[in-house]
Amino acid sequence: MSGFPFSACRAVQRALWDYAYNRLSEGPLEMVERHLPTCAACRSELESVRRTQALLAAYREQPPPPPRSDWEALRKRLIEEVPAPAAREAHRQEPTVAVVSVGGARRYSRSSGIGGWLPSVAYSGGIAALLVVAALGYRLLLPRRAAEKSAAPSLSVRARSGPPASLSGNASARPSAPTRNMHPVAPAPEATDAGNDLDDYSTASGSEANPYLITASQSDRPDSEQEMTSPKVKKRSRSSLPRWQGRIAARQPERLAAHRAESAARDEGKLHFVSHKPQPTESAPPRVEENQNENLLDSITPVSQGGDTSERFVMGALTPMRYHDDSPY
Amino acid sequence: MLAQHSDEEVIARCRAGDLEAFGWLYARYARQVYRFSYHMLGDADDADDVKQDTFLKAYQAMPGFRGECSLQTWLIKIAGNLCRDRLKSRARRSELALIPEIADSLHDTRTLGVDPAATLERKDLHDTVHRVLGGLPEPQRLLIVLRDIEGLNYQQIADVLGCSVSSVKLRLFRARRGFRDRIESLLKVR
Repeated sequence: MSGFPFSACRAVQRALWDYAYNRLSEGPLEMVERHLPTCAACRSELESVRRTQALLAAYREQPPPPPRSDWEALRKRLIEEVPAPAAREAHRQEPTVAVVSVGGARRYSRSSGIGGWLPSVAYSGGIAALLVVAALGYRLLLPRRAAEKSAAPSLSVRARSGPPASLSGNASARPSAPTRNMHPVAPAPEATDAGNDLDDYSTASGSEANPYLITASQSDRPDSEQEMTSPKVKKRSRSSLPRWQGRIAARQPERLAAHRAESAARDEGKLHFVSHKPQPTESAPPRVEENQNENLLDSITPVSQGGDTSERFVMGALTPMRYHDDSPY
Repeated sequence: MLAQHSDEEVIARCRAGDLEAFGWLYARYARQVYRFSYHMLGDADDADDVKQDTFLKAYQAMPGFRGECSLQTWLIKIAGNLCRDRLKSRARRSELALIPEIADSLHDTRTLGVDPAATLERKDLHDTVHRVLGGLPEPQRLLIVLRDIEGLNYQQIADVLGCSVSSVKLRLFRARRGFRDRIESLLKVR
């Protein structure tokens, strides 16, 4: 009785309960009536089902103990414990209002009507307006950046050795910084040195590594070019300098020019200026007036020079800058 | 007057805070909820408590009732959840000791005669079946109460349980078999 040896018996026994209740449709009813005469186990099962159903029917006919008539008690609880529907609705709306006031991104599904989706639309519109303003601002800034680029000195330095020793103790041990060459420099005939590690510094911080480059090129430029360079651009270029070099470039342009001329004369052949723009015809180096630069040069007299490294003071700088022997300086 | 209106109309009035309309719903469905709870819990006082809690929760949740099932099914579902919670708390307190009670009833029925059906009818058949029901696992008891005592159809049971009709049929078959095996074993002992 407890086992189902055959799949047919299993299907019939599943249908026996409804068969005993006369609830089977034609197809299952025919299957059961065809199977029962041939299977004693299923007939026994049917008898057991009928007994159980009789017990349940008797149980169903016996009513349970009468319930308490507690409507008044329930009404009292409803009045005391459950807030009025209007208050409940207001309470349910509170989270929606709070969330929208903060971000507006979330919307509760319960909130219906225009109050439900309007904050989201306003939020989306605000985001779209911000995007449009950002795009317009970027477009407006593009020409300005181009002007700044064109106004920036287009000089780069090609040197045999690495950066100044003050930036890295050993030039060969310096990790290769990513090249950020804003102005690719075509190799000039006189600047075909193999090692150009300084390019990273001279271009990335073209103006950071050597303040001379900016001041020299700007001073050498015609007046019309200098007029194109707005004060803001100049300020930006200076602000990109290290602080101590920027102070020199801002306050003592004459001293810088004089020192540049002096060092160019001393290190002739080691420093190469490469320019994208055609240089003015035979632009003479800045004139160095000995009487003007005498005091200045006294203050920057090299401390020592010779051997593998040379050491000297940059004008106004307290920190000595060390260069390798093959440095263009 | 309210008896002439449909459940939807009365529900709309209940959502507006009409306690009179909710009282009509209570009068219409309270007895069924109580009976269901009584069959599930086996105790009239607990069934009364569950009935009241069921209508309290129903009144609170009435705005969220979307009408995907009938109000009767919805109330039975709430009552079933409350009964389940109460049974769990009973199990934690070890207050539900139905199996020994069934054994006691077996001991009593041994001396009552040969015809089991007549004996059960004479000796408080209601109480015996009730205890057998109480000895079933709660899911099986719920199915037998819903189908064979309360008379819900398969679709309504599926709505209460949140499953498919075919799943209801399979589970109900197993529940009935478990119930019948317990009853049969009881009768065989006698």
